[in-house]
Amino acid sequence: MGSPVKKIMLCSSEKEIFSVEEQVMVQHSVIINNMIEDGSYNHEESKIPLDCVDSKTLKKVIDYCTHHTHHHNDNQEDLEAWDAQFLNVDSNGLYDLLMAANYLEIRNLLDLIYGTIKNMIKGKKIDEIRRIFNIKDHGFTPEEEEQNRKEYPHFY
Amino acid sequence: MDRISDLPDCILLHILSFLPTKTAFFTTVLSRRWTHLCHDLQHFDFNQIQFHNSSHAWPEFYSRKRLFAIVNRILSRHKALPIRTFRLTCDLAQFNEYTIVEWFITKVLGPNLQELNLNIQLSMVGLPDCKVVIPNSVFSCASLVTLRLSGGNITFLSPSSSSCGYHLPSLKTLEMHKVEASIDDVAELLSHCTALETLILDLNRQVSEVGLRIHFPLSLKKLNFRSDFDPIRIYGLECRQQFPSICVSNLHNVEEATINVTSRDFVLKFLVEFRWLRSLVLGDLVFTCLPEAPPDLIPEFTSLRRLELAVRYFDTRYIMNMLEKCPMLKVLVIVFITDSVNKDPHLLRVWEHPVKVPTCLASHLQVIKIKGYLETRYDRDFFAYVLQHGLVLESLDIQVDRARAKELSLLPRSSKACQINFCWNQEKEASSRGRQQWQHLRTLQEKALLELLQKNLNL
Repeated sequence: MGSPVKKIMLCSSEKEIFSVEEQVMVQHSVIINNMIEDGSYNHEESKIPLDCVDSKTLKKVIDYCTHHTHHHNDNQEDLEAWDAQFLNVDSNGLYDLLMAANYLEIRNLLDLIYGTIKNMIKGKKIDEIRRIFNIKDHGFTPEEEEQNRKEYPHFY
Repeated sequence: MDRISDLPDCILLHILSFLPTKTAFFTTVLSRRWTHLCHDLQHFDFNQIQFHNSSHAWPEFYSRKRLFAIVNRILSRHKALPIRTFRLTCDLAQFNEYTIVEWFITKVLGPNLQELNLNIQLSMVGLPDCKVVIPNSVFSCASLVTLRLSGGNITFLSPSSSSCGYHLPSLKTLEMHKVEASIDDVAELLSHCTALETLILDLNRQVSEVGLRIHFPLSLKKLNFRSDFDPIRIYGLECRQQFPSICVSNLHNVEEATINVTSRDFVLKFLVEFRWLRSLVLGDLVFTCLPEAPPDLIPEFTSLRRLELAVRYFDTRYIMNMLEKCPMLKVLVIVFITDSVNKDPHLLRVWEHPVKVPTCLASHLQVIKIKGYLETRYDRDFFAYVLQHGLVLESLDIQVDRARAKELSLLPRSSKACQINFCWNQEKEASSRGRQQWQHLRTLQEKALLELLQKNLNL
């Protein structure tokens, strides 16, 4: 038997507590890595409060980090397939993940999400993008919008 | 609720930075929130192709002219914000265009530049002797993390002639394709990249001096090396004994490597230097020399998990010899290079039953993938052998026709979990038809994008 795996506690905005392998979070999150390194985290008592991350999102983030730690050696295709499946969420879920990854500074998850949003924009028409991102109020005056539509009909 | 527009500027800008600069300007009509974002871009990505307008008689000439005008305007206007990324893909023809590109480079250089990516090709009507000379200051840009130089008409000055010292302490990725530089200059440059992790070198120039020494940075994790340098071809067979030195060193920490060189000695020098390699790709040039090497010259790769071999025909002896050297191998990929002119059937190697079953087959090998497969007479024996001895095999992926697939699927397998996946080539045709229609739509969109970009810059 090896030594027991070190765990840390993460607390979501709903005050739900998640116990995660320390190594998993340290490896992926710059913020948590810093907290462990500078000693501001006490293994006996403290939990890390993540007030702007809800339980559902936090669970996903932990899933991501765990998978990428344990399947680090898988071939690229398998990892990409897993990532695609992982990001198969609605746009609200995607923003929540983006904000969480940004807050925890999980670089590879951030890049993955940025890439996904980029693909939601690339090659699409303006109307389609507005629908995808649920942009109801574009903030242009009717005249400006009319003008843009007239000038760049292929965009819409 | 429109949550994307609630995201902070820095995140939206980051998303835009993943798009080509021209496409990024497209979002200025998305909503008012996005209109001004483009003016704060710090990442620029320009590709001449996007500036094509097929209605002109000389589309290449005009697209270049337009591209240069826009880059010029952005760079001249861009005072407040530091540039982090600059990517430029274009081809050059006239003499003055080389100077313009050199001016662009000096203009984007600064203490914040993290990525410089130049892909400069020689235009069909271009002057072959012109070169873009990379200013020496690029090689002393301390913030640079990624440097990619690609194209036969990029060059840099010999380090000895530079008065300012090379210093690239942050550089993690260096890529050079067909850059006009001697191997000694490249080696000198490498000695200043102390944090380098990824190196991609594609050298198409023969070395001038007798000797070849490259001390790679110890930090190197990923190496992709291609060169058609062959000492025997240059100096003749008799030089083999006294050919002073092909010396490559400091490759202990490399985990992923792609090697594609024509000389057997050269390949072996690389292979014996690796210690902790996890993934190895041996390219088609290696196939011209390594299969004939005595197996005892090839070192054992004790930590190798993935091996990819490019072959021109089904050389089962080469494949089995390599398997023998990789006791921990999990994934084996065999890629057939089909553009080969050499389809001489005498080249085919008769299946030789291995004396001993390679260790990895019995304990580790889980996946075998065969790509671009060319059928031969002796392949059945190979498949029968791996299926019989592959105790932990999970999948065998192969492209064959249906009749052949049936024959292979009937072969006895030792591993109960083993799946044979046959892929067909029909899907490709269907998708190419769809792509043509899509392409037409794209050209219309691209044209409108360009107008928008020009308008925005005039604001």
